[in-house]
Order: sequence, then structure tokens, then C-alpha cells
Amino acid sequence: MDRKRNGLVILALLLIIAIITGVSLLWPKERRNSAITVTDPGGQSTDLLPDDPEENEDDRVEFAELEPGEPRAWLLITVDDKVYPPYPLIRSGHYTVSQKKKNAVNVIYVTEDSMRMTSSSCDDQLCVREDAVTLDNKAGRSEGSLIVCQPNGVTLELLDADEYAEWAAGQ
Amino acid sequence: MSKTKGNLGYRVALGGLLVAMMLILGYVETLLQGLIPMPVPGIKLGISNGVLLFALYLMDIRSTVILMVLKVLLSGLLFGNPMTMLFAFCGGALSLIGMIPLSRVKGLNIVTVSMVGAVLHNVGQIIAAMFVMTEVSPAILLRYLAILMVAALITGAATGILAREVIKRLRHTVKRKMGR
Repeated sequence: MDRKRNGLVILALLLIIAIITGVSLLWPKERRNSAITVTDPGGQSTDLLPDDPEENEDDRVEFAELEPGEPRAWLLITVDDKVYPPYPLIRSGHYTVSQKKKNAVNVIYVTEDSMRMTSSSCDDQLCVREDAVTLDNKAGRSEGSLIVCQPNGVTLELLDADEYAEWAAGQ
Repeated sequence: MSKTKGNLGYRVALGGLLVAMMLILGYVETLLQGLIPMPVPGIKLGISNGVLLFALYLMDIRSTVILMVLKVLLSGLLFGNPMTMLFAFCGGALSLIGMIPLSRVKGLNIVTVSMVGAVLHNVGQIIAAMFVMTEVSPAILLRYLAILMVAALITGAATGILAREVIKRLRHTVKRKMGR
């Protein structure tokens, strides 16, 4: 029995196992069904809800639990033609909207009463160049309460308490 | 090709015996699986590989391939479903593809060859699983494969040692009967 040859074969086997193990660990994990993810300032990632009407029902329940009057402003995100439930702005931070299919990323910085697009993967960057929309200036802006990233299909709207109540009532 | 070498009648009888052995041993394996706790389901002892090694070393290549196909068919019909047949075939085929040339290489210990066969068997099964079970992500299958392969090294060595001992004691009888 040739020890060297046997050793070589076993070594080859171990190498293959090591490679498989490495590849399996480094393989990017499949994101769940949703292709659009919003990461809130707390670092929590939620997949934006799919069109499934059932899922939206759960979401309505969430709204009922929100204490009315605590947040002063809400961030309403629309991606393509899907409108997502408004995020109450109770602390400052960044919201990240990533759309896997388009390879598009938009980052929104919010404070308790304002929002602006801090970065975007789009070519024209018009959305980033917009000044922040605040509860104070939104009436006077030409675009109103909106910041639009047209290439990525992302629309941001700052809602005040009345508008939010209107929106919630319309659900 | 192989019909001219040695005693056909003896080869057929031996082949039948070996297939029956593989079926029985496979069944016993499934009984034992529930007893020993495993981190991961599906780790098998794979004694069938040992029997195939016996055929590989003491008979000719064509018979070994036929034995593998028969085993997959029969154990699939008896104990499993067409799905397990597909996995078993892919695993067995890849394993033989590795074992056949290696068994002819001079100086390679049968235990080593058995380990290669066991590992390749798992690789073949997982590759088949990747195509069939599309809902499972490849990442999960690959991690499963890594664990299976480590277990395969151990079971392959055990099966190899078993095969070696059986071959050592029976080779003269078989060779005589085969007419070589």
C-alpha cells in the first residue's frame, strides 16, 4: 500500500469538503419573498408588504394600536405604485429602501418633523438635491410634501397629523 | 466482454446473492437509523457501498454497475418511492464513477477508495436534490452536504474496513470459482 497516494486522495477529499463548507457559509442567504426591504433607524429590516390583501389586513391592526397624537409627522413611502403604511417619525434616523430587482437603494434621513433623501442610487440625483421637507415648509414648497426619486420609482411624502388621520380613515 | 472472462453461471449466482445482501443490509440500516441520535437526518452507514466494493475487486466492472442499478431499482420499489430511486441512482452513479478508476490504481488502499465512494455518493444525492427540490435554497443544501461529507468519511472508512476483511477471506474462493 502506497502511503503517499492514499494520503493524497484523502487530502483531496478533505479539501473538497472544506471548499463545500466554505461556499455554503459564504453563499448569500436568499432573501424572503419580498424584493423590497425598508431598514428603519433602529436597524430593523422589514420587508415591505406584498400586494396580498390579507397581509394588509394585519397592517391595519397595527395602526389601531398606534397612540394618536404622539408622533407629529409620518413618512409615507410609495414604491412604484405600491403605497406602504406610513412610518411614524418618533426618532431621527435613516430609512433605507432597497429594491433587489432594480438594484436600487434610497436612503432617507428623518427627524421628528422632517425628511430628506440623503442618498440614492439613481443617475440624476434630483431627489438628493432637494432640501428637506419639514412640517413647516411643506405648505410652501412647489412639490408640496413630496420628494420623488423618479428613476427608482420611490416617492416620499411627509404627513402631518391631519393628513395621517385622513389616510388612516381611508383604509 | 465480460462474458468470455470466467464462469458466467457463477457470476450470475454471485451477483444475485450480492443484490439480495444489499437489499437486506439496506433494510437493516433503516431500522438502525432511529436508534442512534444524529445531528442531521439522512446519515446512513451505506453498507451497500461495501458490497459494491466486493464486486468491484473480485468481479468485473460491468457486473458491479449492473449490481448498483439493480439495487437502486429493487430497493426503490420495495422500500421507497421513485423519488428516492432518483437520489440513490445519482449518488450511486457518481460514487461508482469515482470508485471504478480508483480501484484500478495501484497502491490505493481499499479503505481510501471506499471513503471516496461514500463522499461521492452524498455529493451525487445533493446535486440531484438541488435540481428536484427547487424551493430549498442551495445554501442550505450545501451546508447539509458539508456535514454529510464528513460523516461519509467515517462511514466510508468503516465500510471499507468491512469490505477489506471480507475480501481478504473470500478472494481465493471466488477467484477459483470464477476460473481465474
